[in-house]
Amino acid sequence: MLKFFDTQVSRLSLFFQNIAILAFIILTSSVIYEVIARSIFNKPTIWSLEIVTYMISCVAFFGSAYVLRINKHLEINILTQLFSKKYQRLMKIFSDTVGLIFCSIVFFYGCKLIELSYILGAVSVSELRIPLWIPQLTIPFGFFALSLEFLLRIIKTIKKIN
Amino acid sequence: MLLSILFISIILVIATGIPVGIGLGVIGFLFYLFFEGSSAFISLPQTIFESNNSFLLTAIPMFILMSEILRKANVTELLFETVTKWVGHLPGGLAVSTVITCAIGASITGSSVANAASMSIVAGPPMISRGYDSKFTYGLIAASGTLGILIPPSIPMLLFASITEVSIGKLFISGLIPGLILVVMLCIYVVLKDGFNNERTKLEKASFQVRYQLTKKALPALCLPIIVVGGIYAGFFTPTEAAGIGVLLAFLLGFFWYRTLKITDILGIFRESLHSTCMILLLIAGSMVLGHAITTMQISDQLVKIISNYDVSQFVFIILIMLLLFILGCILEVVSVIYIVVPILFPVVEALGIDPIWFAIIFIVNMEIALITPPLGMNLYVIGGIAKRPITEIMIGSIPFVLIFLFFLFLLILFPTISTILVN
Repeated sequence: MLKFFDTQVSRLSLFFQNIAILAFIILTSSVIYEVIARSIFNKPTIWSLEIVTYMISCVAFFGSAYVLRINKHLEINILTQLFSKKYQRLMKIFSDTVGLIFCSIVFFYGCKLIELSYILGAVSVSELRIPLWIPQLTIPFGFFALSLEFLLRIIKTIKKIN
Repeated sequence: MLLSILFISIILVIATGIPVGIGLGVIGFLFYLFFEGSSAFISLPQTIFESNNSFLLTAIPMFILMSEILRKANVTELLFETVTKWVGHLPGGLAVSTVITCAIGASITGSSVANAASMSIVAGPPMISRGYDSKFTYGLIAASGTLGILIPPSIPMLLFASITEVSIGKLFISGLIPGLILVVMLCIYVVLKDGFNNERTKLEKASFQVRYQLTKKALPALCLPIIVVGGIYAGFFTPTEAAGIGVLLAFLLGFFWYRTLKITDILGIFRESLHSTCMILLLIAGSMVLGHAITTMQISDQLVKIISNYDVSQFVFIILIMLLLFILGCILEVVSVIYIVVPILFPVVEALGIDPIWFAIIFIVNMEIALITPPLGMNLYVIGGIAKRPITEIMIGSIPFVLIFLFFLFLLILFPTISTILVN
């Protein structure tokens, strides 16, 4: 059961990571395209700047869950390492639960934010006038995956205790 | 009062081992909830979304990408070899060449951790095999690696500029002279400490032919930072565009000049850079939530009042701030220190009429110390991990360098002109 859950979550995180990589590539290419278009051909684009700022949200939030999975987020374990293995695990369960609660709140209210932006018809303050809920989607998606990863971490630690 | 509660809760939460970005977000959220009530819930995702929605911050993934490309293309090895051919036979030999390569490496990366990491791979083994003490070797690399955030480009400077709206071009250029002075100071220390050690056989002096060949090969990589940083300073590019040009040139160098990159490497480069980027961006998102709460609580207004009541002089204020930063730097990591401290302190700095560029530079130098002071010195951990040495050994090795940095910081405080000469 756990294994099945683990595989599914891992698939999701990996899939999101690939979206983030794609966004990263788009981000890089549009910055480079814009510089060349502006400085060499003197034809600045109107879309580049805006696309770039949306892509960075995409990079940040779609990529985060997988980074949590491979433990590449910054965590400070100097203090917890001084305690016994048992306390370390309890502490880990505690901190992961806090993380799970926080990410779930962000996920839940992220959905509300999108609903709000959609109803109000909020658009970006630029020439593209993109509806804001589209780039804001990165928040609930990203934090949903982060919540799942935290949940999985808790389950795995509990398993180790038993 | 509020400030001390804030600092203590930050330390407690982060000590649990929670991912730092999430931990900072939790504290910010709780404070906001306490002061503003339930509006905290809906403003939370909004703040997080806006945290990364800034054009200046997009320079961060690009700079990370640029240095990752050059790392994969083995440029650090080439630079180290070239520098060694020039200075390897002189007193101090490989150690001096490590310091100089770290300085050059700092100009193609905006992160001290990345700089120290690639240097400990490239310079560590040759130094050890020539009989340098491993404490000294890794202490030296940890310390010289910190040049990464002082010599432009620099990610912490970008963050500083994005919070305070100080000109990033000026900030970058201002790091140059202090950076060079620090390099000279490190070299002098290394030569005094090790240069007259006669037990070690000296490296042979390389012929002019060899030096010329290698320098010619390394030259394009050396020009890259000049184009990137110079372009920003001249106002020709925004930092993001400059980083984009840097990425493009780095790819061109790797594929066509050095031919050390393969098409199949591209995906790996993006993946690696994505991981470092996400780590920093999540930290920024969490810190912004905290920063948002701090602004709402109007802590800095209170602080300005207190300071003007006590009639604190500029000098005393700066010394106190440096002490605070030193302590915070021991227990926190650079990005979070910037996001916690700058929003609170910068209004005070402006109110006291302190030069923001000068303040930024001494702030950054203090953060260099933070990278090599225990318990949380990022460079110590990264090098410990790569070199497979105990952390304590690297900590002991970096103690003399911490003293040098403190002395250097004191110099910068006494003579503000060192930091501002290029921009005023």
